[in-house]
Amino acid sequence: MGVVLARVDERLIHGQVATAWLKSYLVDMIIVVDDESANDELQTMLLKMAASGTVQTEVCTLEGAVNTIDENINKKIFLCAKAPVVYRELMDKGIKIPDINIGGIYAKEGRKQYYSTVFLTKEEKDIILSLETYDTKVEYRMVPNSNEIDIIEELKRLED
Amino acid sequence: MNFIQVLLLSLFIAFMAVETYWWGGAIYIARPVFAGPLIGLLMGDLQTGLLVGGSVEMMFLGGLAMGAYSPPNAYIGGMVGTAMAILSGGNMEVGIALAYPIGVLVQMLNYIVTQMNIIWVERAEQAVRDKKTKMFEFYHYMCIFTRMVLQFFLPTFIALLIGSTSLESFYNSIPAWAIDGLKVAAGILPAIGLASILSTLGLKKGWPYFLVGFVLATYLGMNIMSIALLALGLAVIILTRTRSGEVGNLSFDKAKTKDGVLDDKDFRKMFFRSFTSMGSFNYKGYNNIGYLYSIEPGLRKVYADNPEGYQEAMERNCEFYNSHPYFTNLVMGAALALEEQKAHDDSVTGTAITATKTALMGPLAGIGDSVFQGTYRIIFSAIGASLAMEGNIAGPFIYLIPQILLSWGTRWGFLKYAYKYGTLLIAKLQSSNLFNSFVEGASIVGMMVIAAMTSSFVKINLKPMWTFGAKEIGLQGVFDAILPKLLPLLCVLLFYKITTKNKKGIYICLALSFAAGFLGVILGLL
Repeated sequence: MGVVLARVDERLIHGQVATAWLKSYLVDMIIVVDDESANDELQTMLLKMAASGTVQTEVCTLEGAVNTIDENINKKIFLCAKAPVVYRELMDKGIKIPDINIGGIYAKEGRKQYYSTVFLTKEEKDIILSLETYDTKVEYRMVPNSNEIDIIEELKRLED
Repeated sequence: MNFIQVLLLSLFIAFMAVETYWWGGAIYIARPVFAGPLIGLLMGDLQTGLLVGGSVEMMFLGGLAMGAYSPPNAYIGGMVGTAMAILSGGNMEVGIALAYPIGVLVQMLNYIVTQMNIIWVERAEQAVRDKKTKMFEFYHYMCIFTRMVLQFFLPTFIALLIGSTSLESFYNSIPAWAIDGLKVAAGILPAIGLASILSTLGLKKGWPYFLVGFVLATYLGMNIMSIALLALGLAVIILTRTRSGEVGNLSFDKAKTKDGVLDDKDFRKMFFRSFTSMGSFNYKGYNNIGYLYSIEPGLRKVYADNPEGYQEAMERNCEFYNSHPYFTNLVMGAALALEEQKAHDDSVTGTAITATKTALMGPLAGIGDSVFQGTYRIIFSAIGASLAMEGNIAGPFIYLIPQILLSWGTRWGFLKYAYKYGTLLIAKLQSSNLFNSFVEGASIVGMMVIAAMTSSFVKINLKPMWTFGAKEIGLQGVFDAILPKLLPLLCVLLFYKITTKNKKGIYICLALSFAAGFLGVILGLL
């Protein structure tokens, strides 16, 4: 058990997560790893509401995440964060993440569009590429039923 | 149909389909269960419209549009399917067989248009920076019309042009076994929609209710409506037993609020504009321009004597936005309360307003998609489709009226009360357990209704008969003796397994349905 899927999405928990991802992976628990949300009462409440009470939801800081994950290691955990770098840091701290799903990183100044829902800056792209050396799968998929795209392979190909 | 008729019908179909983006407030009027019969009525064959609309609705029951994901398009699939069935001379199986392929084609066009609209959206954003409000509104509408023409009108027009010239003669040239095969497949296809709903509603938790619903329909012969009402009663009993005392109320402490500058006239403007909040959907800012267009009258009034503040607010609200359309009005209301505070005494920063908006939109989309789209709409779709498939004209209305009440009611209420009570409204909704209770109750009703539909609307009948002396034994009779409707039940469960385990499960199920139809007829089994 432990983490079954870690999703990167700047909107954290939203429609796709609540209806498709949770149903498809039948997880026991969502852990949102985001410092800003964890330190904000309203955001924490909203995130806990988002899965309509069907799945236990915790919101924690990057610091607190390791503990929360360890305490619930016998459950099927779905992680949510806004950026891939969060998962790299968690893995550096010894958390096992089998599958990182790059879902939604949206348009902003300085970012370039790679997929319909993924826009990256140079640094963000490098962070995704750096995940290659870790024991994890990094893929782009919009909903569980979409085809998995090996995002590292594709980004490397674009670099050449 | 002559060329002019094809053109007019295509325009009408495109206008219906663009409802969600433009004129109706996402009441999903173009869903097959309502639009199918309407097309039937226009073409002078209401009965075929009801049958095709109801069946296609069932096939598309499970597909939910979420965020950037868009399922195969049920609108064009259902409406063009109905038209094709009537053009072929009133053969419902033609419409049912064509609906899914057409839906997949329009789904692909959706991705193209959503990417293309970035061109208009970037111009709209520039117009906002240049303080050209009229131009910005123009580009917002260009997005809507681009979608209407490219995604909805063109495929419809081409399909109907082909259909009106050669479909009837083509249909008459198809060999009898193939037509019978299509008819058998048309009886199996609703199982796909039912199976995908089971995973949306959660069969693992809800199977006892599924079982009860199946028995009520199969052995007692109860119809969908009576089972739905019984399930509703049951759900309320269960929820009040398990949650007594937990359910809070939605009343507010009046002292904590003050009256703002916005009145009903402003809310009315924003209410109607919010119908287009998904209109300029695109992969860059998502619904950013639609959101800004909807909230603009409020910003204008709040910053009436502060043109700089207005301009700043306009540019600030151009940023990425995406949420459920009904809840968008709640975000607008809450944001306007903050904007007013900012305009009044500058005690709120622009960053804080954006942060609140961003914090609200994701989670509210989660609730909206699972509560409004994933349960409420599905249940009324299912009941409406069941009645339509029995040729009952009430079916489309039993579907549509609850959608109108919910969409318009929440849009108005969220906008007005979120403006008045701000984010306190959300705290109230949270403590009332309203949404949790609704989802739980609705899953119970949904499970029982889907079970009843499995029993009534998935049609698999085995043909083989054997004669032993004077006694005739039919294979179907053998199965009926074990459990009537066993085969439809197994079929839905099999499709459920396939769609939950396999990424391309829905296509496998489609292929299986048609293969079973054709092979079954050739081999004399079905």
